[in-house]
Amino acid sequence: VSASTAPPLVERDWFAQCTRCGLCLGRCPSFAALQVEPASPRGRVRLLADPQLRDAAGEHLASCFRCRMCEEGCPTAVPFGRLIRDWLVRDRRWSYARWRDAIDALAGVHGADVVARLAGAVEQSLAPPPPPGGSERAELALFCGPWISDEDAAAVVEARARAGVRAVVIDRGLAPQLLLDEGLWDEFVAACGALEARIAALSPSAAVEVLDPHCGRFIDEYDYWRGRPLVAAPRPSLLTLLQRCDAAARVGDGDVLDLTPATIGLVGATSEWLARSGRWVETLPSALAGAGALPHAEAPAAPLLRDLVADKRAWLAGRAGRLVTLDPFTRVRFADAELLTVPPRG
Amino acid sequence: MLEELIAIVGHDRVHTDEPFREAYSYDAFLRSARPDVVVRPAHASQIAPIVRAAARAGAPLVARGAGTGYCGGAVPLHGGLALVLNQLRAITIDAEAGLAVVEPGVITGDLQREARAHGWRWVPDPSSYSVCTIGGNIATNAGGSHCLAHGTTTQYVEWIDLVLSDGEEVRLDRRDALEGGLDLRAIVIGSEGTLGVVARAGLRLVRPPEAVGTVFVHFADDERAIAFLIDCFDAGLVPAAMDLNAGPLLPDGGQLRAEGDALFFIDLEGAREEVAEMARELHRLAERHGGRPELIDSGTLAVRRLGLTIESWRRITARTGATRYFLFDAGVPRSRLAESLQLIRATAKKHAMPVGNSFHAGDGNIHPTIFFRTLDGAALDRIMGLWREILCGVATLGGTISGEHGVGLEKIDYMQLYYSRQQLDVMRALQRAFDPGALCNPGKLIPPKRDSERAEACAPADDAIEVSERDGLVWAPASTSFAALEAALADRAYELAWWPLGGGELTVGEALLTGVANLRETRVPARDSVLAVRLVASDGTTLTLGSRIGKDVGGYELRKLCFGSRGRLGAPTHVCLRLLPRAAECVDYAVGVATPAAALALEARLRSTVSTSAIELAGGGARVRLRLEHWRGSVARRCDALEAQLAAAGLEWLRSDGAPLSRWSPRRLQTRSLASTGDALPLLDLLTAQRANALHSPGAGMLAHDGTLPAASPPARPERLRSIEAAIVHAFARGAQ
Repeated sequence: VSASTAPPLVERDWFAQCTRCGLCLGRCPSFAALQVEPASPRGRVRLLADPQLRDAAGEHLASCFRCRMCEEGCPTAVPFGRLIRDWLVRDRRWSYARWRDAIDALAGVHGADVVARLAGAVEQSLAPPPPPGGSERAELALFCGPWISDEDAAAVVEARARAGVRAVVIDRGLAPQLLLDEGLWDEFVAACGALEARIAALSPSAAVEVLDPHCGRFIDEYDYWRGRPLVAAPRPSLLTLLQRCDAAARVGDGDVLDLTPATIGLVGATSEWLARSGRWVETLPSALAGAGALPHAEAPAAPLLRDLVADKRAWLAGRAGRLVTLDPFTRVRFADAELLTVPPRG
Repeated sequence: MLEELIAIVGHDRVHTDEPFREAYSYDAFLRSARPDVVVRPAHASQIAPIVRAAARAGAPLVARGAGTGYCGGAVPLHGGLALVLNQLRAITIDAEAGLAVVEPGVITGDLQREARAHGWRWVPDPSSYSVCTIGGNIATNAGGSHCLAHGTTTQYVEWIDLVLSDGEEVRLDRRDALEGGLDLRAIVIGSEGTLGVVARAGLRLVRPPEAVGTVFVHFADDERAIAFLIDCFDAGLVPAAMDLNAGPLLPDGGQLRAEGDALFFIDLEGAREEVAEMARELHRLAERHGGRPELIDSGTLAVRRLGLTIESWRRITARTGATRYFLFDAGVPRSRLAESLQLIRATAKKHAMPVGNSFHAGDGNIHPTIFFRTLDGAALDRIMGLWREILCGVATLGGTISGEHGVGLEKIDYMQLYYSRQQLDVMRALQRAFDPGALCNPGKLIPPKRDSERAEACAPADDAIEVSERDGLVWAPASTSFAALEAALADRAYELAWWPLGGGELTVGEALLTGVANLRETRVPARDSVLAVRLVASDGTTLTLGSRIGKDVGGYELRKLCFGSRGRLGAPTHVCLRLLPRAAECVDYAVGVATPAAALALEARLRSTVSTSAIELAGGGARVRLRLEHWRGSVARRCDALEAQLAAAGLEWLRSDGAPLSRWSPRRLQTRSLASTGDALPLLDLLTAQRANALHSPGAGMLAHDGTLPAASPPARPERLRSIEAAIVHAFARGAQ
């Protein structure tokens, strides 16, 4: 499979959609380190728009962390992350040669357990799929992502069993997403194929349950990049996922919602959810921007995401409101798994 | 030139490759142009050598911070150098004096945070505060939400180190006007990089308020929202910030539909009692107009406003499919806000474009935001039509071309609509005086000369004093004494912002020309209380500088030059002054101390708790005059606290309730008195005060008819600044011919 099988990205003129207001600059960790406009979300979009410049600007484009924090604050919702992924899978000079390199690059950012889980997940996802009609029969394929603990994942499986639904954890690493983030298109396609086969092997009418919005986002990305839905069965929208997590975490007025750096690209759904909830919930990037706590150039080339997490913790320490994370860095209490409704069966 | 630049900053900081040139070709305006070279100094000391190298090569130069301006101010229209300053981020805070020394690349939000960490506050807060830089804020005289009560950047810049277009560096200080010069600092602020490059600035910080109340008020429509705003100002209820998200206007089959509520974001600041009482009053007024007030956690206005604005924009996008927008600003007198919103509605309907408007309503600073899909011919025509008609309409409403964004490239062709030939000629001469080769940000702000430029309108001869509570100002003949002004304001909800340190019998014109300090300098520095000046130049022609708008950044802010000009630019006939709400309760104290040093120490200690102070030196000792004033609510609690503090220090005091001991310090004391310049600055030094007083002889130093400078000019000014000032004085004389 070659990179050219990636779907054409330009649904509309995303590049022109950038008004160059610059609000993304304060959210971009790589701009904070490098301090040059070509390596900012705004600069990258500008350079991507021109084929000639794009070719000359690989270094700047590749400096993107793929964290997509810029998307949250963008008034015109430019999909910076998707644009960069699209470029990465087309210009193989800048994507990782091997998925191992990509995982190693994340080691400094995430904890060792998360990285190990990621590596395991990638290996598993690239392994040959089980033969159809294998032993693992289930009605429900659970997407947990790498950040949900084993205990929490098990709690959900149990809760589903009590409700008479056999569930199987199908994904622990969002491996295909990771591969795509790093421009490993062939591996992405292979992993997606394996995923499809594993779900098909559970039962012909298996439904998908997504345990956190991050996984939900992945499935949206899957649909987009594969040009077809992962399963035919209806599955909850991102908005529903957020509401479910909200029910578990009970987000209250004045709480701070952690959406960074790994809960990427939930912008639209989160905005809508917040608007409907009638509560004031700050999202962490906004809160950090408000507190001026985003890291700047004091320590260029520092492992920025790690600094960012430290900054987050420091900032929150001095704050009265609770931090509520609907995924990665603080976890929804999945011990309350009863609260999560079983999705409709396909 | 390239070799020279590399020698100054090193290889890795000079870029001529296409990606770099492209990435520094734009800001948030629609047009862009590539520089030939991008230079990124690592130290402020590299700015002057870079500018010198560019000047030698005859290359134009655009200084740039974050590039978040909306007017093309950072676009290198004529190529040349893009001087990227965003890595010059040193902040030094003097926590004792409440001063910050900053490099131009400091991010506004960082300065706010840093000031807060030292117990101070940096006031200007443009919506882009999390990314924009102080250099850009100075270049545009940035405002933001809280400049409604606290004034714009110019009010807080004490001095600037300016690198002129030939590389010479000069220090421009707020006090220059008191020491025989003109306040060139005030002209550089808001000059959009056309007069030189700011390499460093000294900024004044203030104390954060004791309490902040953030109130959001929902209204069903804009009309009710504006009626509520007007009622607030009529009643003398002036919030620290009063921003409005007007309901977005969406075209709907030949009609126009307002989508959603109008939503006010209001911050009330002050002592706890003041804020509580103002909040109650605000609630009453809001409910009278059918508004739904909602008390919000304090101090979150900026973040929430931005978040909700972005959300509202995304909704417009979702409803209309228009994914892009063009945002511009203009200012109208507050009293004409309703008309300006009608104007926006009418033009939006005519051109059938979705228009949002999230703006600083309290300042009359509108921000029409036109949404569109593509920038092809027809759409572009409609956008430009809408934009043009609103700008023209604003001019007829007595508005300003910009309240905070500036003129840049965007509105340069509209300068003639707002400014007369005479004023533009003065601006041109001023620009030439600073930058004879026109190398600093050429093609911005000041338009090339056109034959059709209108002459300065004839100003009616008018001896009346006009008070507008709604606009928060008073227009008066320059010969009016402050006492007479105060009499005209008796029984009104407002009082003067400027209580000159010279007594009530001083006339407004005298005080302006001699640059008399304000006894309430803590609230508003005297020069910043002057909104407009009508000036008769030496040949008898009248110029009206400034407007009825507190936030007006169109062109060079010539009115600012008048303060302390001692008649060199002409004789003022009328002056427009800012008003502040009348204090509901005030208590004055006169505290005796043994020495002037003890007086200074006391002032420093009390700086955060008293808003007004003066120190009078008498004999060997001194008397410190303090004033506690509240716009609303009782000052009793704060009086108790103050008296406890004074008693603990073993000091004696006189207290006067209700009426001030004497609002105007007696004239005989004036020559020995010293004004506090605010809760952030060290006191005006005695020397400066004495000089200001010594120069206080009305009419002295008027420009001679042959255009020469008055002989009284002190010799200490650097030659370069004197020649710039001489050119400005000549321009005022010539411009009026």
